[in-house]
Amino acid sequence: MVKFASKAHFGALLVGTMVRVFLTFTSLSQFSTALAQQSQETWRPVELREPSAQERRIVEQVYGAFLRSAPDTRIEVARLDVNNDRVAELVVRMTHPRLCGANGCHTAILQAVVGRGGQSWEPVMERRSRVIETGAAPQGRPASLRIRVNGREIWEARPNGVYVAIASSFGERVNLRANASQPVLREVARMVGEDLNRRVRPEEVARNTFAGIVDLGPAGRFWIAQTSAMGVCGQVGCPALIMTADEQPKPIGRFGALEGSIHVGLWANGEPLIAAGSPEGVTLYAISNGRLVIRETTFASEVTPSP
Amino acid sequence: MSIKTDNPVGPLRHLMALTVILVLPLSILASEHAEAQNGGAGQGVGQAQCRFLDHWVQMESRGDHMAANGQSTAIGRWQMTQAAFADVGLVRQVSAVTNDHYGGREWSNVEFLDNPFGIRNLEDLRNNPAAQDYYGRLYHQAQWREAQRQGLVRDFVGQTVDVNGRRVAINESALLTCMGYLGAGDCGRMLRGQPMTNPGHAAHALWRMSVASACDGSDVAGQNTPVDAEANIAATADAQYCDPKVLERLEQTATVQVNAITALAGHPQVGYRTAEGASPLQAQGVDLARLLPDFDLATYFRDPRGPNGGITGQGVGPRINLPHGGFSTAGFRTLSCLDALLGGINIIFAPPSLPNILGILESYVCRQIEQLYARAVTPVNQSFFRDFGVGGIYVPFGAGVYTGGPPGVRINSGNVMTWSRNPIMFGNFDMFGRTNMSQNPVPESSRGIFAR
Repeated sequence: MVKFASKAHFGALLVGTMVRVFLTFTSLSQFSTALAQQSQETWRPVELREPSAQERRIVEQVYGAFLRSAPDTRIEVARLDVNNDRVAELVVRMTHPRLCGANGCHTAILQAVVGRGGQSWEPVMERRSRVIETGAAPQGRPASLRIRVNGREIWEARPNGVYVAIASSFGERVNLRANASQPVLREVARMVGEDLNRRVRPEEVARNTFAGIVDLGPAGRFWIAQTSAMGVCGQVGCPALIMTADEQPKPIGRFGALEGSIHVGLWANGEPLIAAGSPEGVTLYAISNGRLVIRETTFASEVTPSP
Repeated sequence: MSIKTDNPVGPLRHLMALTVILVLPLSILASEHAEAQNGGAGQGVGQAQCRFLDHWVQMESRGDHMAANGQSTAIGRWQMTQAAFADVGLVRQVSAVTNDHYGGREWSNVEFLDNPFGIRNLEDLRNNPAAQDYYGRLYHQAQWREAQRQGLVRDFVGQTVDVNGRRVAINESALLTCMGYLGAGDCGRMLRGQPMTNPGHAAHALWRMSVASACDGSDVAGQNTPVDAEANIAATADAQYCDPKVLERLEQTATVQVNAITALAGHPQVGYRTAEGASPLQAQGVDLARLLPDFDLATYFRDPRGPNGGITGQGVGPRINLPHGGFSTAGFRTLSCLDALLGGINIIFAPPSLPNILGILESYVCRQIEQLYARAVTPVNQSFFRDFGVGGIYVPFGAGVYTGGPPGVRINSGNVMTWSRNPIMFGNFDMFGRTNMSQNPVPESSRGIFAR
């Protein structure tokens, strides 16, 4: 039996809990609105089936090394012309304990490439998935279909055919505004100073810093500030700082993102996430023990190894 | 099938044929590479044939001043973002970027400051390549000064850094690329071995730096330090999107090549022979029919273009697809995935310098393969002149044969191929006719030549 020191203590806890429930509900509502907008688009599930012998050979050509080490891998495929060139690409999912996780199992779109030595197949998208769907490309984008993974994250093709995840599909964009408070600017100046290896005054970053408060439900409320001051940006984006939304904000982590590509959403378990877009894809963060941590990226690199 | 011997070839011709086998694929590659080099990125130490600024523009936009990135505010020949234009004093951001400002559609969130080009809005800027060039140069010059101020120039130019096991020699062009791609903070952290804000960007940053290291950075830095760009590229290529396949293919082709060359060098018709006429392989009791079951010397050396298919040494038989099928075409065809790999970064266009990049990488690996050939054949050369007793132990190929398979080719390790000191293995058989391949299996696709 939990004992409370006083009725006031109990009351405070009750109010606090109700506020948190309300905030969580509010956050969920926001994110579900975004998801609802997504779902208004027409998405068609990709039906996977057993591969033919030829399709299996294609998969073996691309993932031969892995398949030789794990011959019990289950392979499912579908044929789909994702780039509207009248040549069907091969969607493949490989199910094996080493290739599966909470997001599902390794799924790829393989595209036939004609090179100097003839035809071969190359992945243009790789991601773990349970469900994969296709939708029409938005206007003004390459004619390739869009791909939706697990009912949420959307991948779009670049003109060269390579698919990249879109940060906005992971949640709501964080609205950042000018005229950040002095305490926020002080922390941002400290971050920029670390980058430039010298002392930076808040006034030096004020003009190029934009900040906003995000409500991450149970995790709390936080300032997110991003700056493009003093040459700290690269093509992968500009540095951003996440701080507690107190009068004297305390940084809990920093990350980089393209300007305009910071989004907040929820993981499947209801935990809040921050999605930061970069030219290579999306980095997904969570708040763990009061610190910002990278949970996952959609990059096709060492962070998300492919088989 | 047995080996056909109805087409004897003299010893001199044997040597010529072997030379052709050795030289042909390399010369093909050399010519391809030379062709690829025209007007493109340079290679090797001290041979920079591109300038950093040109290279950057080509990589980013192919020089298209109307280029715009749909997923960021990057626009123009240099793919500079709003933040970059703010850095060089062309714009001032009055409100935050949203995705409405992506793709070069509109920049209602910025004020254009007074400038010598009279640019007042995004459209003006996109339509003014001269202004883009001016601000692009200014931007990289500012980044170079920042790199100098932070001590990155002093500490790293001319040095080799090791990032996650990948060793990259840094010159001015590579450092400028690092700054431009990652920004001052993460560039410095990566080079100094400190935790990066987003470590996932390191692999691609290193790759881009490696490619850029082939260029002369003196157009920004006023100085240029030559580095071995080919080695840089080879050291970082494995971090890329198609790494497993590229490496696997390298292993396979290298295995095929070296094994084939070694086998042919020991073949009684085209390879070295003892004074008694026995080939080194026969001296070891190797069953050549089993080793080269489909080998047809006449087919192998017949020039399909010549009258009656005369033996010229120029033709390459289809059964042993040594030069053409093995290396110069199929072998690195998968490197076309470099296209996808380069498309995986922020450039939205296929890079125009791709053939050059391919050429650099091909040339690098080619040289390594050449070394393998040399190592495979040198012991044969030595043994050719060695006196050995009849019935004695003859070890013609002391260096062994590259057997492929993991750990196999590791082009980033400095030792390009893992060279086995085990007995020679030809496909499924070692040179003693044993078939135990469990220790170091040859990749499936490499077995075809010798194990059909």
